[in-house]
Formats: sequence, structure tokens, C-alpha cells
Amino acid sequence: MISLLGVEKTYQRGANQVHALRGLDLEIASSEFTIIMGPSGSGKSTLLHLVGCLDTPSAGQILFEGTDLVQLSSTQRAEFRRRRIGFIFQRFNQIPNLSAQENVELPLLLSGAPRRQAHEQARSALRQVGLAERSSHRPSELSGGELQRVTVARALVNNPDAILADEPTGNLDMETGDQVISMLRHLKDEGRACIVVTHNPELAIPGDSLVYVRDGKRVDSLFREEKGRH
Amino acid sequence: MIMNLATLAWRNIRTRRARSWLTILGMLIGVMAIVTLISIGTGVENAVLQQFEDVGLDVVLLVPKESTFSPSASQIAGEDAIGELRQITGEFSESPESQSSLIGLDDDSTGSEHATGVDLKRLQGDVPEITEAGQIATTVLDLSAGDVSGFVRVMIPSWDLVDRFPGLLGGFAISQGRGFAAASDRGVVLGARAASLTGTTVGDTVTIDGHQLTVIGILEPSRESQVGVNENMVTGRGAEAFRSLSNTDDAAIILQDQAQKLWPNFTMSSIVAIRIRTGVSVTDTIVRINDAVARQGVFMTPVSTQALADNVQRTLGMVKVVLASIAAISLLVGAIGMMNTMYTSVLERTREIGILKSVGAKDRHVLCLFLIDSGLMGLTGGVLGLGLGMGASFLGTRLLGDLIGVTSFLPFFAPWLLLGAIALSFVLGALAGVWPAWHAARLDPVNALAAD
Ligand SMILES: Nc1ncnc2c1ncn2[C@@H]1O[C@H](COP(=O)(O)OP(=O)(O)OP(=O)(O)O)[C@@H](O)[C@H]1O
Ligand SMILES: [Mg+2]
Repeated sequence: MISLLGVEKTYQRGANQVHALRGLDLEIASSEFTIIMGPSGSGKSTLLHLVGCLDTPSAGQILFEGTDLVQLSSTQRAEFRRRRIGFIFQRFNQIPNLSAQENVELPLLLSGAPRRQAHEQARSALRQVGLAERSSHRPSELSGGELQRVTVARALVNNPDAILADEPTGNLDMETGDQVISMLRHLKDEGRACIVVTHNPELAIPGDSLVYVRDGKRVDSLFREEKGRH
Repeated sequence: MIMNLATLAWRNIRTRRARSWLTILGMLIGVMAIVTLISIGTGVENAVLQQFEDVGLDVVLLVPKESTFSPSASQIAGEDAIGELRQITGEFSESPESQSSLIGLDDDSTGSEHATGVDLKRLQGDVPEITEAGQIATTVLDLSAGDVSGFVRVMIPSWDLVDRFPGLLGGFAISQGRGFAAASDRGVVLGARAASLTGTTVGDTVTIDGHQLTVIGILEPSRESQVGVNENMVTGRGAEAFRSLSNTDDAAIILQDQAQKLWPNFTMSSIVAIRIRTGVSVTDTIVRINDAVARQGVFMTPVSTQALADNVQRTLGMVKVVLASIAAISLLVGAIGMMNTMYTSVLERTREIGILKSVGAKDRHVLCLFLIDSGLMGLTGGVLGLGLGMGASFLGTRLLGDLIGVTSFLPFFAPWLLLGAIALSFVLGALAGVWPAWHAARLDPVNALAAD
């Protein structure tokens, strides 16, 4: 269970303050497939960063399986990211100098896992996403879809509680995007929470939990909000 | 854990080959310079000190005071005199008389009135710490052998000196014939160059100052002429004395007893060699010798091998410090180059740092990653620099040897130098990485991820 209570995030940009989140409440059950939607600049990425402990809220509370994330030190947050979170980004975020295999090994090596074990686990993670044959390739030698599958493998390799995906299909065509999303859907069955930020409403299927964000707040429906404005 | 970080750091070095190697090159040159300069410097030092050890560090020389033994007397040594030997005609650039003040050979020679010679028996009575003593005079006389004639440096040692202090005479190693066997031995022993320039061999007769003498032995080239370096490095009266004695190459050597018979007016006023009992203070004993000699009314002053050796060591030590400092500067420049590379690398890899943090790297992981990165580059530079530096030292001693006529010394690699060079390069490399690595570790993950 992930719960956010009155979460605010304010960025300082020069003399101005940007309110990315303004009192956001949200509850996400484990083994739920959550889709977050909202217009550009509404604070979706910020929300993911806070849940994934990449950043700290300016106010409010975030509980992750009972852990108060706001209380964690920077080292504990790193530890938390490594053990409980798998990130997937629109930009893939692979380290260009490392092969797919080596990129997937990263979280394991950072956990202090023996190299041999890291190697084996990374291999099997790559096999799961169907890239066993491409493991020695550098990111520049892989297609977007393949890259995103490497990212999925890397996100999963440490057996996290939650996968946080920020527009994972943004740089992919429909078909490969669907492939990646269906991979993520399987995670639900393994008891993992999966939160996907997307602009594409067609990704949602019945049973998904949908969250709409606008102007840093959760809203019931984007459609209704928009209608109300007019 | 640290091994895993080292793996990651190494993967990075490996993939940035060109830049990594250029950075490593900077460190390499610095380490190489240090290793080369210090090992050659130490090699020279050892070679020079070895000469003093050959003579014996327990030896004290009594040399004439400034008025009677000027540094120019070293010009008596070989080069000038023997050079003139080649000229069969008797045209000389310098009058030998002006340099013969060492020895009261002629009644009317200058300077002989002070130097009436030390009474060694009396000296040993006054200073019981003296275990052995010998003396030697040096002069220049005319020599002819066959159709070659000219001036030669004649060394007239007492039997005790030849027997007990051969090290003073450059080892006095015989290559042909025999050496002196007793105080009463007659005949002349020629230095290697003197023999070859006059074309004489054992058994030949040479004429020195009108007296016919049989060549009984020919010496090996003296070590002095092989090393020769100290000529540039050791100065001072005592050093001159050592140098003029230990270079026997151009000399003709006749024992004192025979010389006194050939030249009855001969008064032994020259250099006295004294060996001091082991375990007593050389400094104290020198003071007592000085007093005792003064009481005899002789103008001579004691110089200890030890003091000369210390002197040389100090001088060379300073030279080494200067050389090492220059080398250290180049190492420093290498380290700054590395710092620059590391900082650029942090800037370039900002997004990578963000990625690392998003997959759970802690600040200290990122810090270590960059420190190991620069430390490994430093270490690689150190190891390669050490290897190349050792090679360059051997090459350097060759070239240096050819340049200053030295062939028999080798670079010396002190263990502390080898270990120190490697440790230093690793530490310097890591230090150069500290600031960039710290900068990297503190990057905010979200901002770092947003970088291009
Ligand atoms: N590091 C930052 N510094 C300053 N302002 C920021 C920063 N990150 C985000 N913002 C601002 O906060 C607001 C929310 O940004 P966020 O990235 O969460 O939006 P988003 O919903 O993900 O938008 P998009 O759909 O375009 O990705 C925006 O106005 C953005 O400009
Ligand atoms: Mg976004």
C-alpha cells in the first residue's frame, strides 16, 4: 500500500516558485496496475519521483508499505530505491558505455552482490524480456523497443515492490509500446504495484486503477474538469 | 562491494580509451621522471661513495696546508703531464717546477722550507688511536722510454702505504708483472696509460730523471678513471688529494726507500695516510692529530675520508632533492591534468550519475566510483611509469656515461622508490579525483536525470 497525504512540491526557479504538486492525496494498493494521466506540467513526473524516493516533498506525507519516506536520510532513500523501486523512463536511461547485460547488472552490483551472481540474475532478467541474445550490445546498438525492454529487465532485476514508469511508451510505436505495457501488466500477478504515467488513454483496460492529475492535484476526471472550465 | 565499484570504474576507463590513456600518460611521465632521476642520482652517489669505501672510511689523510698544496697541484695529475709525453720534443705549456712544491726534491725548490715531513713514529706515540700510517710524495720528473720522452707524474709511496692503503692508490691492482713485495723492492710500476703511451711492457727499462729503472709491473686502469664523476662533484683540498692519489693511470710508482737512494736530497713532505682504530671518534682523533702535527712544526692538516664522504653525500643529496623536485612538478602537472579530466568527465556523465542514483547508488558509491576511476588511472600511470622509468634509467646511465666518460655505474632502485612511486601515483590520482568525485556524489538525482 502506497499512500500520499497532502503532498506538496514546490520548485524554486530563480525568483519564482513553481508549485508542481499542491496537496495531493492518493492511495495505491499493492498488486494494482495504476495509470496516471494528466496534462503536461500537471506534476505527474514529480509525483513518481516522490513515490520513488528520488526527491522529497515540500510538505505532506508519503507512506510506502508503512515506511514514512519523508523521514528517510539520503542514504536510506538510495537504499530504498535500490531494493524496492524499479524505474522505467521515457528516455530509457541506459548507461551508454555499458552493454545491456552490464546495465542490468548495475542495481545488483550496487547491492554488493557477487559478480557471478549478478551476471546470472541479469541474464535471466534479460531472458524474461526476450533479449538474451542481445545482452552484449551497447544501448546505441539496440532499437527503442529493445532498449525499453532492457530498462524493464533492469527495473525488475532487484525484485522491487513497485515499478514506476514515466511515459514508458512515449518513444515507442504503438505495437512495441503495447508489448512493453503487457510485460508490465504481468507484474501485477506477482504482487507488485505498477504505476504508469502516460498520455495515451488507450493503454487503460478495465480493471486498471486510473488517477487523474491536474495542476498538482488529484481530480476525479479530466473530462469533467475540462467541461467545468468551459 | 568495493570490488563491484572497481568493476564499474574499470568498465568506464575501458570504454573511454583515448582520453583515459592521455590522462594516464600525464601521470606516467611524472612517475617516469621521478624514478629515472632518483635512481640515476642514487646510482651516481653509490658509485662515488664506493670509492671512499674502497679507500676506507677509517682513513685520515694529512695534506699540506693551503700554502704548500694548492688545488692546482691536481694538475700534476695525469692529463697535462702525460699529454706532453706524446710530444717527443720538449715544449711544455707549464713548467713542472712550479708544481713540485710537494716534495723537497731540489735544494732550491720553493716552499720546501715548511714541509719537512711528519715524523710518523712520534705521531703514533702522541696519538695511540693511530693503528697504521704511510706516506706518499708526488712530483713530476722527465721520463724516456725508447724514443718517447716527456714528463711523467712520479708517485713515491712508502712501503706501508702500498701495503696497508692500496685503496688510496685506486686499488693498486696489477695487470701485468708484479707489484711491490717489500720495502726494499726496486724498480718501477707504471700506470696503465703511462705504459701504453710509452709503449713499455714488463721487463723494459725506462729512464726517470736520468736513472735507469726496470718496469716490474703495470697497473690495471684505476677505478677513479672509470667512474670519474666525482671530479665534478667533490671539491676541496682533501678531495684533490684523494683524486690525485687514486688516479694512478698516468703515474710511475717508485717505493720510498729506492727513491731516497736515487735522490738523496729528497725530503718526504707529502701526503700522510693514517688509519684510526675502529670504535674511536674520528672527529676527536683528528683534533689530536692536528695538535700533534702542529707540535712537530709541520704545516699539514688532517682530512678524514668519512668527512669527505659525508660532504659528497650532502652535495649529491642536494642534487637529488633538486632533481626530485623537478620531477615532482611534472607529476603534479600530471595530477592536475587528471583532475581536469575527471571534472570534465563528471560534467559529461551527469545524466549517468542520475541513472546510477535512480537504480540505488548512494552518494558514497558515486564518490568511490570516481575516486577509483582516477585512482586506477593514477595507478596504471604509476606502474607503466615505473617500468619505463627503470628502462630509461639504464639508458640514461649509458648516455650519461658516454657524455662524461663514465661506464661502470648503474642506476640504483631503492625499494622505497619503487613502492613509493606506485603508492604515490595511486594516491595522487585519487586525490586529483576527490573534488570532481565529491561534486558528482552531491548531484541531485532528479536534476542529474534531466541533464542532456
Ligand atoms: N527540477 C525542476 N525545477 C523547477 N521546476 C520544475 C522541475 N521539475 C518540474 N518542474 C516544474 O513542475 C511542474 C510539474 O512538472 P512535471 O515534470 O511533474 O510535469 P509532468 O506532468 O510530468 O509533465 P509532462 O507530461 O510534460 O512530462 C512543471 O511546471 C515543471 O516545469
Ligand atoms: Mg513528465
